[in-house]
Amino acid sequence: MTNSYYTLITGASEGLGKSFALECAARNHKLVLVALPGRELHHLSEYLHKNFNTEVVVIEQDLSLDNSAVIIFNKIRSLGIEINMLINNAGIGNTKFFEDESTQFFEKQIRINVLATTTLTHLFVPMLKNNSPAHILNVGSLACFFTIPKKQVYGGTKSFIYFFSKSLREELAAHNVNVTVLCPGGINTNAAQTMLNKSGSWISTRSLMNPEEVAPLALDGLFRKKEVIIPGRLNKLFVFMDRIIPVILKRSIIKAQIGRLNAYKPPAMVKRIPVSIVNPGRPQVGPV
Amino acid sequence: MKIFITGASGFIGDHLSKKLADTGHEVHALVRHELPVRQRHKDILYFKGDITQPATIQKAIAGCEQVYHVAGYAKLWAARRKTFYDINVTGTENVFEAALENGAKKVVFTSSCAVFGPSLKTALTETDPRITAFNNDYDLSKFIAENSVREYCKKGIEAVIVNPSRVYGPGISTHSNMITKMLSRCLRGRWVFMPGIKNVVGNYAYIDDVVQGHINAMAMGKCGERYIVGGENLSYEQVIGIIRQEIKSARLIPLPAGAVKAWGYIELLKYRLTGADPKFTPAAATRYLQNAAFDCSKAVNEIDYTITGFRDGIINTINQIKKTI
Repeated sequence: MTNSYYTLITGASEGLGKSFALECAARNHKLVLVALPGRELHHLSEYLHKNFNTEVVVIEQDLSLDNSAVIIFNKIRSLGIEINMLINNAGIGNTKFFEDESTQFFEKQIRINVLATTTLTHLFVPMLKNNSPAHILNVGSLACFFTIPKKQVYGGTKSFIYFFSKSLREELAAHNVNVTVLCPGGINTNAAQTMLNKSGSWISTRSLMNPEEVAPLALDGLFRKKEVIIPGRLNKLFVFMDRIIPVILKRSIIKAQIGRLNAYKPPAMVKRIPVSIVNPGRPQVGPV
Repeated sequence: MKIFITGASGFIGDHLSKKLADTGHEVHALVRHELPVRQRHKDILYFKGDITQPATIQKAIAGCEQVYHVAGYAKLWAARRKTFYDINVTGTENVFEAALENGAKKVVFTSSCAVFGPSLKTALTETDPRITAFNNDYDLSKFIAENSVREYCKKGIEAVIVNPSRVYGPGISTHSNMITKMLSRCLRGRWVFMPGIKNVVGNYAYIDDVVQGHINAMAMGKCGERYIVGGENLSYEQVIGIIRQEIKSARLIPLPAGAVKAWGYIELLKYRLTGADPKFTPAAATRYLQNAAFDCSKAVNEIDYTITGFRDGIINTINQIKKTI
């Protein structure tokens, strides 16, 4: 990596985005960090500067708002910053049945997960081509390989990211701009998510990873120009099993799963801690 | 002044409750079990109760203007994970509810430096981000409790959080004063094993500083703020060096990283086989093998916190232990 170029990370205030910021700083990248206002991004920025002597530019922008990608792009242009790496990490999950969630929420989810990634990438491709060799890392999810009730829209947005990345990769290969899609399983992104994760089944808690484990694996894969990165052996096994299990069997498993979800009541301690308390005013960001 | 305190049978609470009583306050202490006579203070009113049972708090807190909520489940191990959240989160909320109902003016909540996680090159401050995920229920439960405490600030109660680091010093023997336990073993000529990794740094807080830190936080701490109350940042090598200089006969064995990790797994295996509570766990091993350096500048500048040098603290502790041997 040439030192004069910056790496842009969205959703950088916590979870996987924060770990990307730390890992990139440790690898001497200059950084542009994007997160929601009020996420104390300046504390992270100061911390990175203190510990790694990294140059960090902070942009507080809600990616669910109109023109957010353009605002970010213009800000970067006006600062004269050149990017050669784009990490589209921001995203929000959902954990409810389709009918129980509001259309406003789904609109927001699609705006952040799909629209922001698409428009940011579109705006920055010319700059990335200019500054090649360059990289785009899009954060998908293991959910794009599976049929998962209660993650219908989330899984849909991540499938979009998956196929978008793979196709764009072919288009940009000739320009020396690498496109990689990361498909992580469950990650302990923040306190509320960690609590939720821990209440999962035995096998799903076995497959959980910490963001500080995923980020270095993802960056290593990115620089090796891998097309798809699935971090974790158990997650790789899940994808492999999904490919070899017959469709009929899968359907019956999912049917049983939906029955279980309908009957499921979260344990008291999880229910008692609304995400809003742990993360005032902000839905969880990062893959779920 | 009438003051309510929880956790008075623990290491910090024992010192704090007695200091408050010695300085003329009327102290109401909540204890789960009746304390042995030698541990009691003649001027403290002890109430039998439990922070997980709200009704028992009500009786003890009535009429108190200030509250020190020191009680917590401070081990790295519980047979049921829920214990951490029942005591550290729900228990804290119970105390705050009771404080709110009874019109207490200010509450100091004893959290832990564990919520900040490991440090990198620089010593951590109150605003630095946690760089690793929560890997144990103690850290997570204390973190959630802190968020709860800040919510109570919005409800109109003046609450201040203090975050002690690794506390040591003379006093009763519990899980939270490992250094003191080790010194005591050294003085009795026993073998002592401790992590001995060269460059791993920890922060060591002398008990008197931590107690005064609580009192200063009550007097000067700002609502919703947290203050790291620690001590000197020292590597294991420095800690071992100072102990060896002060106790010439110490039989201190520094353990390499692999042995510390193995110890965690052996204790866990022992638990699986015998059901005896493990003295150490893999999560504890992870904690003690990572840097945990802290910067107390905020407490020093804003609540007049003072730090006793590690050598002085160790000498005081040794002198106190010698009296009891």
